[in-house]
Amino acid sequence: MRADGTMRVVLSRAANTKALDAIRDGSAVSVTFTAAPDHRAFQVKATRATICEASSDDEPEMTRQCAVFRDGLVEIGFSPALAAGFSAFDATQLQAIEFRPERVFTQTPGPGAGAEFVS
Amino acid sequence: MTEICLGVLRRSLEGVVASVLATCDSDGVPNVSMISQVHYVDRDRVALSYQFFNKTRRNLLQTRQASVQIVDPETFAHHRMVLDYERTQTAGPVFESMKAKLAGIASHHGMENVFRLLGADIFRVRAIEAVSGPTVPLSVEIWPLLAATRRTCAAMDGCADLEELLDCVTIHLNQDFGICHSMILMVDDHADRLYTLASHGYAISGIGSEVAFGEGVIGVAARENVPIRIGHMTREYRYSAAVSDTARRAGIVGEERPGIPFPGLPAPRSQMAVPISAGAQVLGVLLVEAEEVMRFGFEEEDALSLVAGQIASRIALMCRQDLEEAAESSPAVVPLSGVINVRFHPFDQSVFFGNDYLIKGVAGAILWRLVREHVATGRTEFTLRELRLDATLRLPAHAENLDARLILLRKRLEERSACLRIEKGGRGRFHLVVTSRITLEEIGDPERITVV
Repeated sequence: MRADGTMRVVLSRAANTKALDAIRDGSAVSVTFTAAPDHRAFQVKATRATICEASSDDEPEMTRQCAVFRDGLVEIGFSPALAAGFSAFDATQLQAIEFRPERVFTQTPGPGAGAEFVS
Repeated sequence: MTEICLGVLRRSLEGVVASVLATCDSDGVPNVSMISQVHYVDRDRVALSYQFFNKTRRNLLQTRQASVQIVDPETFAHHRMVLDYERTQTAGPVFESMKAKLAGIASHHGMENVFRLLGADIFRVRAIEAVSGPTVPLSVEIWPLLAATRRTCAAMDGCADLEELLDCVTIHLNQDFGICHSMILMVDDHADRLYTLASHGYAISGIGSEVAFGEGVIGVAARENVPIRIGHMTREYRYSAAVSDTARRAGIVGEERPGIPFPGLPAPRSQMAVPISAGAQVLGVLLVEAEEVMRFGFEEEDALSLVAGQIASRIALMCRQDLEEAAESSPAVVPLSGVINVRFHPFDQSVFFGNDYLIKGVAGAILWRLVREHVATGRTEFTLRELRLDATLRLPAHAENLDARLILLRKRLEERSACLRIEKGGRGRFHLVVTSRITLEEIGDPERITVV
């Protein structure tokens, strides 16, 4: 998350060709974030996003978030090897998208899922 | 038909990690959510769990389209499926199977009334695409399941009675499947509870311990007559916990309910309960569990369903066999030492040795009948047939229950090192071995009879 409120998401180019094509064509985006240990989740939505190149500046935060994700999986009983497999990525295939979240919804499973956060 | 066969992706439908479901509303605004169950229906269809009416649900009803991404927990291969919504089922095998699994998860957290399946959304799989990403090769299968199933079923051929049969199965699950912890529970006389009759791999046998229909994976498997498999108990527990907290904040549920004690592994990560059934009638449940995550998959479910089917067939065969074969030799006479008071409470048919509870229900009534007759006549040999025909025992209609109750009774006597024991005789016969003088006391009956 940048200080100006812009969200930057790094994803695999090869795994998301259709999503990237849709963004290029002006599609809206939705991104859901989930915490592995307790499944608490939220979803952000924006009417548009821009596609950017991933850079070496992304690496520290990617490394940190992957480690947190891995630890969360181990915490709930995954073997370290399994956790590492789920958080592996191909560094040659990285692409970034940027957008300014316009709406935020709670996504934690249960009857309240989908409620919008209103500031 | 799809290019990638759905059947080979069953491992990706185990729910090791939640799948990712994407829908759009009629304006094309996407919605992304995690979904706990993508259920294999047939080679062209999957079912998704419908638990709450939310944005995903509204989108599905508007567009009738969805995309779901699944992950193979062994190779980490990702696949994305394009789905066309067909219908929602609120009854039938698919619904019951998904509902039972969900209920099994929820019962561990006292959330049966909140975390429940409203419907099974059936989708036709229009396309499957492999998603590019890092993968690892599939490890070699350690336990060839078809061979293990064959060996286990063949071993049942040599079993003369129900006790041998059930013990044989748990031993071979260990030997041939590498499943160290297993139990077999049989349905009780009123078809609302199950009691443990055989177990393997536990510090205590748990024989006689009971589980109610609908309680935990065993009770739900019995109630719904479908296999229940939970492969990541901690994850599912926490998944329930997230729902529970949300529901509690919403005021839907109140106090947390205490956990249900189970006489198995203290913290299993994997459990599978497979009904032993003859058509619609559930005779019992085979439970296997392990401390590893995802120990039991679709393949193990297939294999153990075959084993359970074979157990049911064997039970039916035993019930049809002639119970009046030639008598075996009587056991040697054992000298009596000491005196024990056997007390019977008719209202629940419970039997106490001294002040120690031994057993209740039909098994208690059988024991009381045997010791009374022994005290009155000195008789030590009995037949199953005479018990079946004894109207005072009020036996249930299912013949296999009598065998099961006798095994339960015999094992309880053994475990208590009691002054009485039951030994198997020839087919359909058994011996009562008495090592103490007995006094009988029936509550409500002031008269006592003493062995002379």
